[in-house]
Amino acid sequence: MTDREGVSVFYKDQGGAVFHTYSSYARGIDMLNTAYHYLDLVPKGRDEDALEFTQSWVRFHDRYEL
Amino acid sequence: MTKSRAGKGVGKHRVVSHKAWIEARRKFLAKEKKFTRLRDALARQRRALPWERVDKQYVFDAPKGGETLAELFGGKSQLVVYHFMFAPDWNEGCKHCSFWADNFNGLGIHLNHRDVSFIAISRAPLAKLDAFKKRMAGASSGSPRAGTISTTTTRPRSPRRKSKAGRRSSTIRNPTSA
Repeated sequence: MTDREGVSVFYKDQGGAVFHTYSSYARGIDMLNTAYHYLDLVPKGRDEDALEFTQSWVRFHDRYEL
Repeated sequence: MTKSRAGKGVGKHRVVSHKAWIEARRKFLAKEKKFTRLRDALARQRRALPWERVDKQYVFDAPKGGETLAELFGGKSQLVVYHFMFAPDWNEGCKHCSFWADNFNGLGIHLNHRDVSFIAISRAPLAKLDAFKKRMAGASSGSPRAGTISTTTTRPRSPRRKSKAGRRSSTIRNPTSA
């Protein structure tokens, strides 16, 4: 296993030099997932406390059972 | 239907008059506004963090051939790279990353107009990425690129909880975790 999720940000100056300005992963990329922000608004919230791990309910969008 | 009807798992909840509802909502709004300001301040501090120069040459497999990291900017000065977990020996991408990628829909065009290029990269070969993208049609933004970026040599801290995918190491290594 050599993969994990994450976001990285880079900047390129006028001379073409590239700089790494930011990286984050795990809860750090929560803010990129709008669905979780909606879930934070509803009475049940993310409703993940009783799950084996927080996102165990997640399926590919073509794999949910109705 | 009872007055205090609540969804399964939500339990008994306080139900009040409209006047009291508005009052409670207004009071909480002050808290939300405070948080918004704090979030703005945090974002400013994040942008003020020092940068590191990337001298290593990264090349990605793109639909039109190899692209360097500099070329991923696509004429913009700012680049956001999402590392989408899809190992070369997998037959489909990570479902959690797919959940995140469903949020990419329509994002690129707006970011492009703010001098930002947005791209997802994975380690799996381009043919696998294309097939998976086709299956998840409409859920991603632009064409994915095959390749990896290793931005620092610092290993990430161990996550508190292991993912279902098992032990983790990183292709985008970074020292921070929120």
